[in-house]
Amino acid sequence: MNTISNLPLSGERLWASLMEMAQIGATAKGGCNRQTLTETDGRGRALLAQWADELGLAPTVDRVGNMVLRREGTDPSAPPVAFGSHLDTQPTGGKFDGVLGVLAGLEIMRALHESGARTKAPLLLINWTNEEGARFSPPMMGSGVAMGLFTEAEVLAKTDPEGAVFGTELARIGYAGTADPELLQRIGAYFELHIEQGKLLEDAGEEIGVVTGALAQNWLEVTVTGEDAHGGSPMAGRRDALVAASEIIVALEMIARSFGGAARATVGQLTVTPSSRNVVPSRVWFSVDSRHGDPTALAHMETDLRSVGATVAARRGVGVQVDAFWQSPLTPFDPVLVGRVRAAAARRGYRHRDMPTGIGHDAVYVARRVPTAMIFCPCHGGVSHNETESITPEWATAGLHVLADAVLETAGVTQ
Amino acid sequence: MTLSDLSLSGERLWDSLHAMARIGARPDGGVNRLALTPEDAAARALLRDWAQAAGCTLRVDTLGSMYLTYPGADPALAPVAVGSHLDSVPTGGKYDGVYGVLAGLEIVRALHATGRRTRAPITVVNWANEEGSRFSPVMAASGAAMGFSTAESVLAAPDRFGTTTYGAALAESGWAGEADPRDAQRFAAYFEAHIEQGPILEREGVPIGIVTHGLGVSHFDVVVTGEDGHVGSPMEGRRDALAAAAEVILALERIALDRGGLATATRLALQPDARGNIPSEVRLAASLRHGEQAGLEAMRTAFGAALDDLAARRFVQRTVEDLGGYPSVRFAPKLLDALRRAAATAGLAHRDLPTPIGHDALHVGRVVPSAMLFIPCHGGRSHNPAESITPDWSAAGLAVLGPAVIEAAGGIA
Repeated sequence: MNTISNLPLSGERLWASLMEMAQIGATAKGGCNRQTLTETDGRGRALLAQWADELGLAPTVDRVGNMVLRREGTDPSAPPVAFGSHLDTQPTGGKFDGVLGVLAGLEIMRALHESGARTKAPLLLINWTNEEGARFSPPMMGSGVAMGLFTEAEVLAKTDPEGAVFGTELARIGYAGTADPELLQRIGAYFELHIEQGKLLEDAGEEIGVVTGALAQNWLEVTVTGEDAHGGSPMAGRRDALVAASEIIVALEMIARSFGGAARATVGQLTVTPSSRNVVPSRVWFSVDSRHGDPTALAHMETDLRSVGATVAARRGVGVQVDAFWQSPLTPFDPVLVGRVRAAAARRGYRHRDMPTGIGHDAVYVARRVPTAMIFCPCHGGVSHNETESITPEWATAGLHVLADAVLETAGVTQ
Repeated sequence: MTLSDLSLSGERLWDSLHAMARIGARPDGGVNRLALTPEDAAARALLRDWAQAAGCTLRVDTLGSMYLTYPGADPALAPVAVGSHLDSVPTGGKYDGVYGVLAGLEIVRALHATGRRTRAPITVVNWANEEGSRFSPVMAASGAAMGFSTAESVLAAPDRFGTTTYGAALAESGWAGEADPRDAQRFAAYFEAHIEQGPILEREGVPIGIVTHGLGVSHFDVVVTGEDGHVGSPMEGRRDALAAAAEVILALERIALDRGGLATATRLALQPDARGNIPSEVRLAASLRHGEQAGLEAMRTAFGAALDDLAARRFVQRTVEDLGGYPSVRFAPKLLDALRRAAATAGLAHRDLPTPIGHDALHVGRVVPSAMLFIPCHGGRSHNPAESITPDWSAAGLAVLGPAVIEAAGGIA
């Protein structure tokens, strides 16, 4: 194999670009507020375009604002190899979520440009529109439209909490392009480097997560109905919806732990009625987010939850209703591409592990149509969607190396 | 002495309850008569007029509590007090508090109507701001009267719904008096009749509850702080504040059951309270109650230990914000016996029970020999427009309260 180890990839240049990008929408606490389709997003995009221009790469922008920077290969008939992530952030976001994947991709383009190397397949660096979904919900709109999961019309009509319309805002920042987003379904492979947003890697002292796929998700809603009573009423005879809900919440956590490392279950939202200091609650509603790498196990988790609910209902004389809310299928990444990521990490001597992503990324949508792999690098304390989000330059460089090796092996280097 | 001997009129009491319920009446049949509002002032005026017509003289203390005294044969004797409160919660019923005041009024009306006196004077009391819905805390005026807080602190309490204070609202209502609230500590005895606000008496078909003691109560907020994270992150290493709070709630229940007390968690506020986030902070409102002060202390200790254990196991922080409460109070055995005898004489079934709920009598009972009696209310419902009682229950309570108060006042002179 024509190796890439002599490619002049620069971790320092990547880091400097990350810091420069972080100036756009910088917050007082050291984070970034570069929400999608705002003026700051426009400036972030412009900086990327300017950097690309220095490499002779002109961006193509599609009708939902996805930016694609194409570097031609030697074989025009080869399907392009794509990589990237997103430059938009949460309102109190960090400097690395999404940005690392885009600028590591840029660094690959820069190193190739500097060395004059050619790949066989064309390379595409992609900045997906509105990955975060903080301003316009849902998240991952740009990749979702490109992969045919949302329609352009519905996305362009979305409004933010102030009533601004997606399509109007896109045009206002000058990124309403003309390309057909669905053309991106024809790419041959997609790689995305991202911070882990968890702390497994850091805790284990590992530099690289080889992401094998995205967990299946099952969102449920639980309503517990008891009877209100004065806070001083006798314990016997109470039908306390909150104590019953607490039993279910604790049991849910145990269910998740009993289904192995790929299982997650979380109650993120909860409301109590009547929520009065001296009244035993009559009703509790809560959301359940459950995820697993194995859809059968995920279904069993729901069965177990329903069974706990029935037991609690019978023992406490309350009603427990479990309703379906939303589901997302298991999305395995492409074994060949995942293998290339794993091999690259091993060759470079990075400590690594296979892991699923429990979190949504553009790669999860892209994987529905295109062979895909993801690479995680650690982030401190697993903290993300937070202004204090942080990584080390060494972690960024490790991610860059593995991304570059996997991309170039897939695209083929001709020189 | 029988009910007819005393000329106590269950009917007159019932009519008065419903005349009073028209002041601050809600369209849903309930009552909204928050403390120191124009509605409260109108209710006070009606009580004053009724009591003065029954030969009582009025004193009002600096916190607005009303004392309507029917003279005794021996003016040197300290009065026997009987009463409760006329204020209500915003979605209140017709009987909570009002029953105890108007049952007391009916005793002096009956005496006045037949030209009789007891040896000691009888004072009908309407305590200001029992409910605490508008000005915190609850039972403010009786607490200050008994010396558990200062009049100044009560007067300075802000209005939860506006910009005024207790003192300003009291002055505006025209019910700021001159009397020293602490004079109430000199009552010879205090009786309070009240609806049970619980299900026991109705369920057992017993019309009279002899309230032997008040449970000690400790109110607090618990704040559990973990770490936020994405719901997609692994279970391992999570510091989920809600899972921890759920364990806190279960620990409260277990402690109550283990130690013969009561524990209740009611309000829960999550940060960030979003479907996609592991909660990083949960604030919950909780209370502990026990019939014995030592039992309440033991529950608090056990709860502290449970929190320590939880913090160590789940790597969460927890803080307990003490919001006060009151100690367990034993009512006066002699007065309780008087109530039991009166019930037996009237042929009314009765049972002993504690009050888990705060009443002015819990403050007064720490200083003045006191007793409470309960009558049933439907479904235990209270603090609710649908609160209801039967005329028979109302009359039964009166038939027990009247003789006991008169006996405590030295009998008919």
